Amino acid sequence: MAPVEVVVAADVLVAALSRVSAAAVRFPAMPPKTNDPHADVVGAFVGAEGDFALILSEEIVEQVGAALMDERGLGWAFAAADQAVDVLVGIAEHSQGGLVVAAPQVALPRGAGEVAAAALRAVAADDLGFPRAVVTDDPGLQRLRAWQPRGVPWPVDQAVALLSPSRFRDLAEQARCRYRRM
Amino acid sequence: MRTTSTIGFAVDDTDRARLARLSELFGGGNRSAFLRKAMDIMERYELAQRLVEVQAYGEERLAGSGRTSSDIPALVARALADPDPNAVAQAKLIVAGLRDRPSVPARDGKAHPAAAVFGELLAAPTTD
Repeated sequence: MAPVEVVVAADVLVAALSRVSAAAVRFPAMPPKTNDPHADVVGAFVGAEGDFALILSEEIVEQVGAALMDERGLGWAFAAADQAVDVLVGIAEHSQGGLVVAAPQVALPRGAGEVAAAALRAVAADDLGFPRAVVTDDPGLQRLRAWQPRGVPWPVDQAVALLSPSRFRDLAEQARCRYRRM
Repeated sequence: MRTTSTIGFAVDDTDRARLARLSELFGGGNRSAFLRKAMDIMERYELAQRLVEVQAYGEERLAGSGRTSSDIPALVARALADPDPNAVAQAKLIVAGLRDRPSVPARDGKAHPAAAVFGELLAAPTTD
């Protein structure tokens, strides 16, 4: 069955890797809501049962790696960053997601930064189903709320939901509660 | 195409009933199907443990740099706008190591029940 396709932007992933997540620790229980929505976002995919798929791209992974290992910033060791990426990709694959070939030709909203652009190029990928969402910390994208890619084949009745980490976490939790009662 | 082979392993007499019950419950009575599900769960459990380990390292790095999680968007933006050449080269190496990973599985067209519920929730009015 086709899951909800969820691209998580690089800055959200870096934040999620920078704090221990209660959601992951309690696997396979339903992830609890914590005061750290970034970590909760990744936690939501750890126990996913084909409902929400974590989608990444090489560009997003490269951004995550470059940000983690930047000596002027977080200064992660190569082995630790390599391990982190392997874990993220493993979680993505087990959620029915994984790495997609991004759509480089898609037209981007004016003012989209590099992190937002990579997430939007990934969510416009050819080989994903619907619905699709991007989880982002970019205030500009969050204000847009929805985005319809141009410059790639795209169904007119579909839009990409642009969500903050806390909004995605809450929606995923509510959706799971609701459909498990159906 | 999936290929299969038969392997044997020992099950304690006292565990036979447990295996039968769990296979019935999670594999429809098929022990191979049950084993696949059990391996999937154990792999996820392992990933959860490894995630916590990398997060603990990340928490330490963030605290050690004298920053907080609210600084992360700016840190990421700066790392991309004014890249550290070594970090970028190493990140490219990590990406190159992912080339053999499987691509996203083909979607069969039928939506997971979560998809419809998610759509309804998105359409509902929000306050944020």
